[in-house]
Amino acid sequence: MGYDGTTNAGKLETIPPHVPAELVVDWNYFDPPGVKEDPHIAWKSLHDGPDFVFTPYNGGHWIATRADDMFSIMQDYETFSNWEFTVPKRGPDNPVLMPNQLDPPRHGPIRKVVLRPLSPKAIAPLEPIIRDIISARIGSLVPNGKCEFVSEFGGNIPPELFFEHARIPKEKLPEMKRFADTVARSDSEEDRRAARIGGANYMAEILEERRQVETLGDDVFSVIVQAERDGRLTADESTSLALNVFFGGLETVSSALAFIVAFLARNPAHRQQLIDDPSLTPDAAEEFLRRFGILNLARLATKRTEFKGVTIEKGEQVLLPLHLAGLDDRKFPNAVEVDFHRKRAAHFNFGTGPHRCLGSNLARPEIRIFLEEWLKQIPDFGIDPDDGTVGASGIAMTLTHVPLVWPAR
Amino acid sequence: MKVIVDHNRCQGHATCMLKGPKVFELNDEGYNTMPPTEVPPELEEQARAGALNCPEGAIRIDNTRSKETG
Repeated sequence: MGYDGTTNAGKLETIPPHVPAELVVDWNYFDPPGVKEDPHIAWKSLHDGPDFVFTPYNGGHWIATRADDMFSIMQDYETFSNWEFTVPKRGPDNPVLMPNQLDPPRHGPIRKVVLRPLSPKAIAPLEPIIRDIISARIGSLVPNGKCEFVSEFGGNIPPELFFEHARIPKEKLPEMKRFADTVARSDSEEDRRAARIGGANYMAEILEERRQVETLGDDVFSVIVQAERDGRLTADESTSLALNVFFGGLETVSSALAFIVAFLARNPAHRQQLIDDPSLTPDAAEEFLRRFGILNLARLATKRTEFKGVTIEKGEQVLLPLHLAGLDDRKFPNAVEVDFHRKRAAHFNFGTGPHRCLGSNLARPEIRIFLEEWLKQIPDFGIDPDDGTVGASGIAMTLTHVPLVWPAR
Repeated sequence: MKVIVDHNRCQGHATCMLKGPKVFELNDEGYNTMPPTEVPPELEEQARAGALNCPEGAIRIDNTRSKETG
């Protein structure tokens, strides 16, 4: 791609001379202080310092902490490329994710292939299936009076729904889920690369099976193979696009659900609002997305540029903690408060600009339906008083452990 | 009241339709391609909510009344 392709994943020994000393923070984004107790509050401490900071960790990178700055960077794709969209740089010998890693104008035509199967109109008829799967799984938990939410529900259901939506066999689900976890939160670039390659090999397999089908369906992988037949994608582009859609669908909603259910477990008054008035649920889902964002994505400077009075050198990365945009008090008064009646909750959890998350139209109904079905069947629940939640940060933040209890029936 | 959508800014978030289902429409790819549209008074709140919650800031509300409607 012409940028500096070298990967330096470790901590810089010296701060580059163009970085002002007052903007340097000691911030390893895979393990920020306080992350186990509460990942969002841990990150929010960055709002006590300068808006735009630099950390020597993970190869050295900038961090934009405020919503407006993240917005400007995501919109300016000519200066801030998506080619290296996670920190540290992945470097060569990695499967490429298309369209994510491409910038306009190459990005658009590949993205266009999967817009229809992931549009609100295409997802709406799937809602009854999503509801059945979610409702049945919650129903199986009810008699137990307790569950570890991540392993018994949140970590499995969204990937299952994605496999269902994409019509791919479920026996590889556990292995793929492990790959997705590794890609999202392992702090070893070697392990992340191996997981990406594992995912890419599986995608190649799935696509090869689809290629044998004469009359293709309207699921996302069939649509990709159809585009290949129409000459709109090469075989390599197909694999790359499939992998992009696949990894996006495995990890993210699980993390969102973990944060949401933990909040509701601790806040009976908020549960009651949704039980008393279920029509609030879509706004509540949106408010939860704002309050509990998960992604730490990044951009790569394609040239030396001035931003907020500092120089960013070509080849440097800027981390965009999208969850911090939702917690920016300049945009959202009392941002830490969850308020279902908030007039404006225009968060960036699905990004902004040309790379808006392709899966957002699937994620939203999953979260809404989860809220409806969970509160119908388990209206009264809390965190196990003898245990607690465990937070983690990385490319996607999550809670790895959410022990819930409720009155057994 | 009129809603005016900047089609170049729209990235298909679909939040306008979520907040204003009776005002906003998306095409088959999930993008808002509607022309500038007059909003009846009973839907003005939906229109405002849709505009306010667009992550791209792609929706403008025009409150200037035309001469005919006073």
